[in-house]
Amino acid sequence: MNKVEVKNLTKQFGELLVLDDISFNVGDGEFLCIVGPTGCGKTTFLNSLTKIYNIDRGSILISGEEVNPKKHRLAYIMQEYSTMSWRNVRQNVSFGLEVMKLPQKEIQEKTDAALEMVGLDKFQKYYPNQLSASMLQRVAIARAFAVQPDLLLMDEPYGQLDIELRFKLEDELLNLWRKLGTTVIFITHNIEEAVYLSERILVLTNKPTSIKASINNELPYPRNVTSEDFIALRNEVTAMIKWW
Amino acid sequence: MSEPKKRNNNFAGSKSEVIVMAVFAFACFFCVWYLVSLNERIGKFFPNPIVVLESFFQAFVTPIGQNTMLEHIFYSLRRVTTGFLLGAFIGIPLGLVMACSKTLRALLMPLFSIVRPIPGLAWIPLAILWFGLGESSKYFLICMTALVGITVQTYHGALNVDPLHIGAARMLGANNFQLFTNVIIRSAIPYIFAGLQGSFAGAWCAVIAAEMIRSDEGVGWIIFNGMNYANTTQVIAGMLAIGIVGLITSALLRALERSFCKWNIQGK
Repeated sequence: MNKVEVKNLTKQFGELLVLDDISFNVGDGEFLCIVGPTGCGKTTFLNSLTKIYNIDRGSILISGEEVNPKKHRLAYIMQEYSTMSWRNVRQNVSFGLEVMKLPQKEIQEKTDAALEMVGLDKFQKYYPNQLSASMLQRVAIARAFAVQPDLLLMDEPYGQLDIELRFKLEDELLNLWRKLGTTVIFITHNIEEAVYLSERILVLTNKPTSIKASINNELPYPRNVTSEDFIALRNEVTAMIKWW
Repeated sequence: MSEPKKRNNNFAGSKSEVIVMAVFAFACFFCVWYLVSLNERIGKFFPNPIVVLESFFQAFVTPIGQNTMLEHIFYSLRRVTTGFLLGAFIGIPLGLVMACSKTLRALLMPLFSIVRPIPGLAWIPLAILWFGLGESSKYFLICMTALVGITVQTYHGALNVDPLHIGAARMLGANNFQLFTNVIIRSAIPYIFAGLQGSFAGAWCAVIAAEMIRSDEGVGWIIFNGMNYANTTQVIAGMLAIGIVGLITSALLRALERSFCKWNIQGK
């Protein structure tokens, strides 16, 4: 069964055609990575999926229904920092749980777990204007993970993090994905990251964006970035991207 | 692990240094004032600071008119607070409503745009005609003066909420009410406080004007009465009272802002 069905999605900003008749499906529990050149409309696609933008043509269905954040448990980690400046780290992480009106004890436990996962348990009383860029992004990641979403949308979430933390969070993401069966749509510029994480890689073209290729990634988990198969697949995707 | 940012915008270093600098500035100001007032021609209509301070403190014991200085301050403060709170109770919801509802914005904005450029003091004739010379007209005048600034700031605060915050909250399933209470109002609070601070100063202008027109008490009356009797010492003592009370009320509002907006203060 498909978790996400995108049919003939078209989005224009004035005269500028950004997304041109895109159609694809994401299976329930699938981990999909989307790669494409800068400014090709990857973020526009996620913003359309989450209804931040209205689409001009086509349809996006989640579990066969129109997108409804109140009904479908979605989490979206944006490129920009979306932490709420008036809430401290802990309050930011627990926001989604409070909105769901969960019991206080459950909110506390899930918030603690998420904070520990991103290594911010010692900074829970800090406000966003006291945090560094990577810490802000970790708050957004913890907030998304805390709600244990059915569909996790990530727009280059690890771009600003140091390599050690990025590896750690990539593994945490894979653990969460396996544990919860969450469907993940992950946008990245980093081909190695896409090959390391995904079950399928969608390669987008330049504007107006269409799908250039859909590559199945059948390498077994946990993946070894130095293995021959890994490097071969990475080179295959890179070669494809080189010629856009 | 990266450490949180630490910022230090305190140009004068420690708190005690700031206090020393403030005391020094006041001392310089009073010295210049004193030296200027020593000039025979200027001194006739510009009393020296010692005389003014004596007169100011004396007024706390010996009444000016029917009331002591403290009572005059109390009357003015009561008028300012009542009119100002009335303006805030109308202005904050009005600003929020105009920012959040396109229909109400289309309905109310044209009316508000006409009222907005009218200076508070221009309402004096209507205030007298509608409410007479009693307390109500003063409250009305102060309310109208405060209302505009508070509404404008609240409106801009609520309208300029970062779309990323709205998007993030919606994504996490927040309904319209949760969005309004948890995101829009919270995000607008610094703007609301900026509006309250600015409007409180405006409210003081309005109360002085109102008391000059018709009143038997209040700081405005002290100034106006002093002018009628060519008593510059009384006029300046009245002005000094406004300055001191304004300073205290402004500090109280800032303290209130600090407790409401810890997040905006921390790290600065």
